[in-house]
Amino acid sequence: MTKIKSKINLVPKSKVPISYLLDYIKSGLSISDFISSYPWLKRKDVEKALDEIKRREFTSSYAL
Amino acid sequence: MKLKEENLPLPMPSKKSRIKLYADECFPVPSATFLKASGYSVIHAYDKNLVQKDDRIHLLEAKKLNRVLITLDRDFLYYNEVNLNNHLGVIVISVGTAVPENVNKVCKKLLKNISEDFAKSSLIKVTIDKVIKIKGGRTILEKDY
Repeated sequence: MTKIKSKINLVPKSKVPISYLLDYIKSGLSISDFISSYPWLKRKDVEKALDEIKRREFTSSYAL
Repeated sequence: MKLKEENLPLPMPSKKSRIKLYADECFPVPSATFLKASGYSVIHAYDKNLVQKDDRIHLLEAKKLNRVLITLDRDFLYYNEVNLNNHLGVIVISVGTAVPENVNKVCKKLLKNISEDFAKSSLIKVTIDKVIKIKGGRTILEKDY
């Protein structure tokens, strides 16, 4: 099975795409809402993903 | 707390049409809870401690549990080489956003139209207003709703 997602596009230590987090932020939801949806994620990893979004000036081209 | 219309449970589907689902780790837990409240039997990967696992593991687990795999992971649309024969099928919810409110809205509108027979051995792509059935890498049915 060909791997499509690159690790860089995932929330650290998870298989959840960073683009999902961006969807939450764009919809006015919080990190806590995101963690409610994916309760096994650690807040610090989600915050790292958020930093990554800011760092990249995330565009839809990154979203898989 | 007042619930938004899309977060109200679905009308209970008939026993005949109710599909049993296995939700992978990309599927938001609140949407799995929403489906359960709507009468669907749903097992989430989190319930089985199957998070941070390869997509292949989720396919195998769904097969083992005799359930249709439901996911937001669009990677499944590109796994053309995956043989879904003898598999109950894969439903990819492709709504453009992963927010549970939107996922619930689409599930509420379209999931009732998908039976186990319809999904069997197939990849079903569900968009905001379409159900597309793909088998062996080929689109064999596209229905607007």
